Amino acid sequence: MRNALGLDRPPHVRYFEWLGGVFQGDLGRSWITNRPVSATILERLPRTIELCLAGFLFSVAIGLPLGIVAALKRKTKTDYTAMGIALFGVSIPNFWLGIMLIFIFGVWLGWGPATGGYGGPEYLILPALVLGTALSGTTSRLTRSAMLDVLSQDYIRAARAKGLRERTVVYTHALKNAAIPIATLLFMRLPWIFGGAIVIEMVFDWPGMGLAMINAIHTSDFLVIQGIALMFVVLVIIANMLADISYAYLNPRIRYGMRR
Amino acid sequence: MSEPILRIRGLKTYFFMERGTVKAVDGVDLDVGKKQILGLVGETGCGKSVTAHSVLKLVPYGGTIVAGKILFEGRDLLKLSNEEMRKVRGTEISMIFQDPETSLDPVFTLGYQIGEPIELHQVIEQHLISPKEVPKKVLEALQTVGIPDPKARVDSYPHQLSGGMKQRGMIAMMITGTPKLLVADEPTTALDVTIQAQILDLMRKLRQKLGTSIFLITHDLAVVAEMCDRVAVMYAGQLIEETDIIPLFEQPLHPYTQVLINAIPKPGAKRGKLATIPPLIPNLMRLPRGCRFHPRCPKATDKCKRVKPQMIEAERGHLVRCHLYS
Repeated sequence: MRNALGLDRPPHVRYFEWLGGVFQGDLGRSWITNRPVSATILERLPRTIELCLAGFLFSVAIGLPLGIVAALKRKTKTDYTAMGIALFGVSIPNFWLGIMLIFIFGVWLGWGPATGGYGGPEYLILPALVLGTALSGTTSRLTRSAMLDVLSQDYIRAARAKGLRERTVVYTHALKNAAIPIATLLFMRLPWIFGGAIVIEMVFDWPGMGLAMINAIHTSDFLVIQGIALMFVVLVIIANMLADISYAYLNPRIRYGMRR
Repeated sequence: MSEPILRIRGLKTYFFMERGTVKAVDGVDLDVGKKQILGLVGETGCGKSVTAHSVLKLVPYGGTIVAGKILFEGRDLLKLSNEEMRKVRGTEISMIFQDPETSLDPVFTLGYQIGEPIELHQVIEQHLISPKEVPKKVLEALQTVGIPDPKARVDSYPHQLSGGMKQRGMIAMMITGTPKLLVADEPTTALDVTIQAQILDLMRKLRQKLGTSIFLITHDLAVVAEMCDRVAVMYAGQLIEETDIIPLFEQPLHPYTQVLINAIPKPGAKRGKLATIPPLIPNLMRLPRGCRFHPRCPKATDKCKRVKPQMIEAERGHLVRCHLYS
């Protein structure tokens, strides 16, 4: 047993053995089930990504319009209401909102699966909504400040002076400029969603990496914890890369430099 | 003079702030004649820029036009709906802005931005031309403002252009509708001197070619001397002197104008300190009683501290707001 787990060798040797394995796609085997960690990850990663992506889309779908409206109606009741909703979204604890939604829609109204789990869209909507709610608060505040910044720029005044329609001014000129900081910061916020996913998967019994990780923590299944943690690191790096790529894509000042 | 194209009467534009009301424009009367270049001069914060923006009803956030009339060819712009006013902008009245670096949208090509008003006004709204003709019109606009190699510039982003080219590009974007009135808010302030001369030259040519009247806002008396037919001097939200260009320089009446003219360094003059005005820019929230200029005025009397002077015609066509001439 000691030999199989490598516990008879010094820590640094074990570490390099593990690291060498990682580069060959071998993350070791679970101490409990003896299943390769990489197989667990391959099975669960797509589900976690599905959940995170849906949550991200929700947050944009809610946060972006909220932020735009707040910026356009700055310092009015509409603005305060929108920002109140945003604050609510940020402050409300994820797991609590999840439990409440399960209670209301699953148990009380009986519209969806009360136990959570994995399956069709009806299983995805609630956890994605919960995951998106928190980020939508950030998204809307971000959108509001980016839009306010852009709307006070000279080129917006110039666009109006050309006699352009207000919706062209706002949705073509202002939004395209505001999209640069919004997209960048949103992608940099993705890791936050991954973190949220761990809790949400638990609440909704969503069999993704987060749930696997929590189960592994309960059973002290170190190699599984380690492998999944590593996977999250990779996801975070990818999110940051997406932030950079989106910046270059949206901003012609950068894009041009790349072509040359 | 024939019927002026723009008549501003009793214009008041206030900014309502938490700490009080800023009377940025406080009762301005102005006429811009057909094909005339009218200069509006004054120091920073005197309200000249807000006056310019009021003409297009594009007052910055927080400001409101509270009173007055802005008659453009007899039509009161202040009575127009937002949609009607929008259709006036870019077609009949256009504006050139101060800073070419920030007045072009950085994420769209120059050609796109020039094409926008053409497409909207001439294709969609007035059905003057077909959509296929838009690129040709864009090219024409670029040629009118004298951008070198216009074909190549169409697909350039603003950051790929020099300051002078940006300013030309912005002007091209604003004159696509052959406006009858061009409001130019410090069009040369952000440019270096050689480019300045070129842009002023371009504006004069536009007046010749398109018959455009120009309402030129500046703080630079050299630009005024170069360009204007008539000049109004603004101080703390009000006009204090208005006259033709020659009398302004040869025989300024208002003490403020006199100090301004004296502050221009003259070639050949004895070396020494530049003439200056006491540095007390008036607080537009708490204006002095009586004449607004009296705390800085070298000729102020007791009356100036108590009584508000009215605009009077001191000489033919030469208006001044000062007790010295009443």
